[in-house]
Amino acid sequence: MMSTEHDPRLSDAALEALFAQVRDAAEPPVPDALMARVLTDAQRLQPVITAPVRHRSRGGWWAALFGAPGSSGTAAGLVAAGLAGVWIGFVQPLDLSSGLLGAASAETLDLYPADLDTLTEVLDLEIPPEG
Amino acid sequence: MMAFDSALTEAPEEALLRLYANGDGEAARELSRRFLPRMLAYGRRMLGDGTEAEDVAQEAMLRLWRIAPDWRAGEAQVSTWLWRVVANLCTDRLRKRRGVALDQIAEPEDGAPSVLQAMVAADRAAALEMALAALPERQRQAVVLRHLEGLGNPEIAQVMGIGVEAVESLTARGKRALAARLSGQREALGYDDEH
Repeated sequence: MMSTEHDPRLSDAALEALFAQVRDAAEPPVPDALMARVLTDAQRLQPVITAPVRHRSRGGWWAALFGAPGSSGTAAGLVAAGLAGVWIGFVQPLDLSSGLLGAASAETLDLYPADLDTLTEVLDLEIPPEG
Repeated sequence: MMAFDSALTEAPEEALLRLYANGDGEAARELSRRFLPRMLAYGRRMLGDGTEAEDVAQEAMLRLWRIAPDWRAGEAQVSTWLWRVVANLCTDRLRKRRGVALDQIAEPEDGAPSVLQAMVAADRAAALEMALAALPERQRQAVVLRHLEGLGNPEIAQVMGIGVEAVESLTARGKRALAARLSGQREALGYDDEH
């Protein structure tokens, strides 16, 4: 049946079809024993990553005050701040003007004298006549 | 857990390797499921020996596990790297087996007696496998990677460590040699009436 009048080689199209047939054929499965050996190698050579260890705070008011949000430390910090406010109120019952700021704050400082002439005298300024 | 497994099957190969390096055991399973069958098939086609192909595939995967912690992202595709390792391992074995330098095996003359003439009703796939086995090793590599594994010429060039033009040349010569070797089987392969 083979003709001697044309190229005896398999044509490109036939070869491509052969490639496609082999390419599309299901590959034989990987033997279970081989897969097991490969996974054993993987397990044996896998880097061991140790997670960072979190140490619990040993306490101390600052640790409680600056604890993580939502932690029990935060609650303790809020309580501490509240108590500090009560203490300040208790030991400093004076009003601001007479107590905290002292006597000097009760006096007034005249920053803009009502008498402009007085100011010119102080600064020794000459005011040119109008017109 | 199912959603996580599904995410792994869709994860890029480089991400899987990073996961493995970070201690994820499932990533190793997914990498093996994805690559081992193809590397094994490639080894079989190159070596024509199932046991040797298994050894090569296992060794290639082992080298992947070893390099995982030092893998540099973006430098190469994991699959390309694996193809190259398998190709080199096969070359080493073929070199030892033959004891001759590569590419010193003469290509068959057109019309020379086919190695498959003894096969009266050969299966097409088996016929192709046998014809491939008779090709010079570099031609076989190029043809298998291009036409059976479906790699592009640039990737094959990376795998084989040669230029794209050299890949094209090897593939063309390999196909000519295959066509010549299969010439005596046109009728058996069912192609005689088609052309």
